[in-house]
Amino acid sequence: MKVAVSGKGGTGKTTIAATLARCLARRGYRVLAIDGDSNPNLAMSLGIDAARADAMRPMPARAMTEDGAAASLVDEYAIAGPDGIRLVLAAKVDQAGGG
Amino acid sequence: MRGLLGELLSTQAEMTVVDMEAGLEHLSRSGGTLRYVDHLLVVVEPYAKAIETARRTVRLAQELGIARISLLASKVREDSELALLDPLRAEFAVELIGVVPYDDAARLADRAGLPPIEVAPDSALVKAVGRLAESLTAPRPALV
Repeated sequence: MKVAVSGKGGTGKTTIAATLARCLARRGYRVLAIDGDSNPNLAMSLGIDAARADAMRPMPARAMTEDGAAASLVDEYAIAGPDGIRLVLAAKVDQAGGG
Repeated sequence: MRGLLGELLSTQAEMTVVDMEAGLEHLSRSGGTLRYVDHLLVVVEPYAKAIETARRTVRLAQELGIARISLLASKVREDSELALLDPLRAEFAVELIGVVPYDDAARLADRAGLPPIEVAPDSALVKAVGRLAESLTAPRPALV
């Protein structure tokens, strides 16, 4: 299941998304967290330390548009978070054009 | 082209949680990339500007044809505040899937940059999100 959590800035959506990811992971699901916010804060809300979060690179655009690319790119770009969660930064939208 | 969420990521993850902005850029731009979500949760605080933003999000989400769209009330201090969401719910026939209370413990955790589930696991916010997790993953009866 793919759940997106959206909200106006300051509504608590990142805290909620992160807490949801951790609740699901603690219930035994394998969870992939995707930070699609242009100002990414999901790593911190998940409990990933700042240095590792800062070192994250966004997924390349082709992860978003090429069939078959996503799985291996997730393996390459994801970092490990608590409770077995993997986190990726979504590609910047202006680079994801076309397709 | 289906991309990251279009592919069945069953070998990668059973649950994918995407944090995205109110403008749904990743869902709406051409080449937008994360459009194949199963369920969009629109987090909305019960006050006018937030509701205005949520309206735009819900309308866009419906135009995009997202399978399931739900409101999730956030930072709610009193049940009476939920009535502010009634016009939005009626206009778009959108369900309210949960209520996350205003939570000082969660606020303090956030302020320190720490996850509420670690430093405030018994807080109202964490419990409410836990219930949300249960309802999201509960098997749904088939609609007859």
